[in-house]
Amino acid sequence: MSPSCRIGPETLAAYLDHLDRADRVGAVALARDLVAGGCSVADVLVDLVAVAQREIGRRWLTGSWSVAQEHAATHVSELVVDALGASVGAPRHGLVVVACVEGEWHALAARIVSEVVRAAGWRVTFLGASVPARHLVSYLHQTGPEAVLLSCVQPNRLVRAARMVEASRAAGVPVLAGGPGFGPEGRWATAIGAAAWGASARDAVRLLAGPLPAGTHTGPPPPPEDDAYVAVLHRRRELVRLALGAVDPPPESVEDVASGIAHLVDALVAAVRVDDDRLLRDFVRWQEEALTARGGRRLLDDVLATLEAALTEYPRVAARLRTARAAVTAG
Amino acid sequence: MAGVALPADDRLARELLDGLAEAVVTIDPAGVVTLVNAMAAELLPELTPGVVLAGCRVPALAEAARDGADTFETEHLGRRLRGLRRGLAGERGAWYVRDVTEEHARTDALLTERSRTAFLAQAGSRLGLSLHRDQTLRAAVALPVPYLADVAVVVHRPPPPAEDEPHWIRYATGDAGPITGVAGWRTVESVPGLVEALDGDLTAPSPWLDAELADLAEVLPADFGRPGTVLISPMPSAGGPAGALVLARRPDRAGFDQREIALAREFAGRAGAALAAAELYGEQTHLARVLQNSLLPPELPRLPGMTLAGGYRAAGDSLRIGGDFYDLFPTGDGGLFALGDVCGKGVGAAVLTGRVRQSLQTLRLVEQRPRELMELLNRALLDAPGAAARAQFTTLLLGTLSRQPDGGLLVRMAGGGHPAPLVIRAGGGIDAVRVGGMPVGALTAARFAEVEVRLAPGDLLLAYTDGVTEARGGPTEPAMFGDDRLRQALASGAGLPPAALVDRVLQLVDEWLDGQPHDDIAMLAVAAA
Repeated sequence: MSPSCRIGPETLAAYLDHLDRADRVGAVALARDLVAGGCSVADVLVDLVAVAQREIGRRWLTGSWSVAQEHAATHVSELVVDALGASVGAPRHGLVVVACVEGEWHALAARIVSEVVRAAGWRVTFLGASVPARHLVSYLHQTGPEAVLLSCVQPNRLVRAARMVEASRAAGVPVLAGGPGFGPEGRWATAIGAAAWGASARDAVRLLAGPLPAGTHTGPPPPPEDDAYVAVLHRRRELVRLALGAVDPPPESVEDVASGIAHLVDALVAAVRVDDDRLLRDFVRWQEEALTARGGRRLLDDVLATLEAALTEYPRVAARLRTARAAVTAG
Repeated sequence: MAGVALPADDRLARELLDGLAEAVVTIDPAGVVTLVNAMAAELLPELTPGVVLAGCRVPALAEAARDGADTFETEHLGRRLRGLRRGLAGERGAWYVRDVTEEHARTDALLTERSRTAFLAQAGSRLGLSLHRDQTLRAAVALPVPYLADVAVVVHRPPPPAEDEPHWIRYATGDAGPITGVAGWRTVESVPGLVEALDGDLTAPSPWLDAELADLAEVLPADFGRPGTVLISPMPSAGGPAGALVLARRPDRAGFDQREIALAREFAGRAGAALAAAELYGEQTHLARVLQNSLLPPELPRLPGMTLAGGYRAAGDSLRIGGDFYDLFPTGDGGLFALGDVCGKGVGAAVLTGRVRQSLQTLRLVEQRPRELMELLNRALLDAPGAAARAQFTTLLLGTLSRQPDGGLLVRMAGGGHPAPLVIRAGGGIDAVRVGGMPVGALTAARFAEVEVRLAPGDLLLAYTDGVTEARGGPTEPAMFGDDRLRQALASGAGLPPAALVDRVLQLVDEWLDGQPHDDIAMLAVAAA
């Protein structure tokens, strides 16, 4: 943070209050005042807007905010990012592309990264939320950027992230990974072929300043450790159907439950891809927390048991499910 | 034979020794040469009986003798020699020395060939990755370092519309990444051989041994100093020269040998071909992008008294253009909007989309009442040459947005066979606005309908194309997203600003699709205030 910049708990509380009331004018004014008072654009985006966004996510997770409240608050923060981004000067460095992994709609963090990287002098294109891999590839061939910054918030999207990293590497562009979806301290980022991982927008700026030898970070990515990966990936839909049949939810919640199970299966496939039990265990714990807040925890154990029974022919995969199950029952 | 006594026949022993292909040198306990065979006299003429081995004029052997080593290997009198020491009875010893010149040369050639193949394979795969010019240039300068040179520079002429001025890109050992700059013709002309290479002259590349290359300094790293050797190769391609590759070595590194010159030339050829392919692709995509930009949905203007948001996802893969569109034109008391869906897919649909949008853009200058405008558009589309043969039609929603004194909006809409737009009331209720009408551009006698809706402050109107409701996906059995799910999504998002609501619907449809292919999707939302 710049020395003359003060963003304390009171500032955060005041900003969250604006978000709570969907008060766009107040939120933008607060952010602009901070910049006028000596904060850099990066300070405000990283130390205020991004921090507030994590709090919004927590409120949604614990059920104290509805989806609509979350969306309205996020929209206000997006307008704040827009307003601050407009004040950045001319670029001094090359082009980088910022994209959210396909299926990822939490775009605010990536937008913050875009603006902070832009403020550091790079030419930045933000491709938006949920970027299909083939759009990314055609964009890379059209513009030849020096790097792709790929954002992934949820680890169950990691398999799609892996596909996008593979596509970028195949187009000769190294990928910098960002976001909690790549695991604690980004431990799964290199397993799928990313050049490096950053926790925050400031990390992204730091990583871009260092060397990114294309020779080592392009071409075919490292292969999955476990042969079962492709097999489980192909059975994805079938597994969702099986588990849904086993828990047999009431008609009004079938779709919610089905999409929850689909996320869980995706997390399982991702855990197989990066060869780490922790991915599935953490995801299941997170899902359990979300489910408990919405009253439906028993379901998770049944789903895990069904998947385990269906995948006995892959002992390592079944073992992962057993570990995850134990974590839920213990918790 | 071991243990059997040999006849003490000096002549036989000498003949046997001289017949060996190996050089044999025996020494006494004091390290003085006692005997050399014929091969030793040929390979090591310095050694004669009486010479002290540790002080002999074969440095590697003398050193081995001093250090008590059992082997040595050296270049001597133009040959490669490898020696092995064996102890003999009574503290005496013998050195067996072989001429390995040819064996060595074969191994060297094999290793060189292997590393050359590996280099070319890596170059081929790296150069083949990208279709973008800058990316290809970066690979072209990064690959030869350090294998072929300590610094690599490509001098190239960017394609139009850039000015015809030589640019350079450089990579040196220890650099974080390639660095670029503009060279100017003067610099290029003053470097011997560069202009020729840039013109694609296939003169044999020749190393410039310690040449006067002061002007090259401009494109070399500041701390590089005077280059030892410089090799300039043209980068030929089918469409003419793509650039020139300049490889420079530091003074402490050996110059380029014939094999390396051939390798550099082959590499420059591959890089040139990759660069030419990237340029061609760049031209094509430039063309596509210009088209695409004219067809992509516009950024919506800000209009007083209302908030607007659009959402668009094209079905196609790389072009990102399709048959769905929306537009918004400001008018005196608000705006005129259009949302449509041209039948068909891909470039054909995109071209018709362009025609519909351009016609609207012009016709709205003479007619702004929605139903009358729709009729004009229908006639204009049917009048277009070849329209009957194409039999393509468009479903369309046209509407005017007029600010009202109470802060609300009056919406007058004409329909052409389009899905009914939805009004999300501030209180959470959802009404479908049945507009009716027939698609435009299909029949001369088409009939169109018109309706009026009032939006109170906080109400929101969402117009969408059937790509939203007909998105096929779902977590288990493929099914359509459908009206019910759309209504549910909108009800749970009542009160959200248009941009957030459109984003939410896009997100839910995207989740529903779960990676399955889909049709074009377009949405336009407007709220009073």
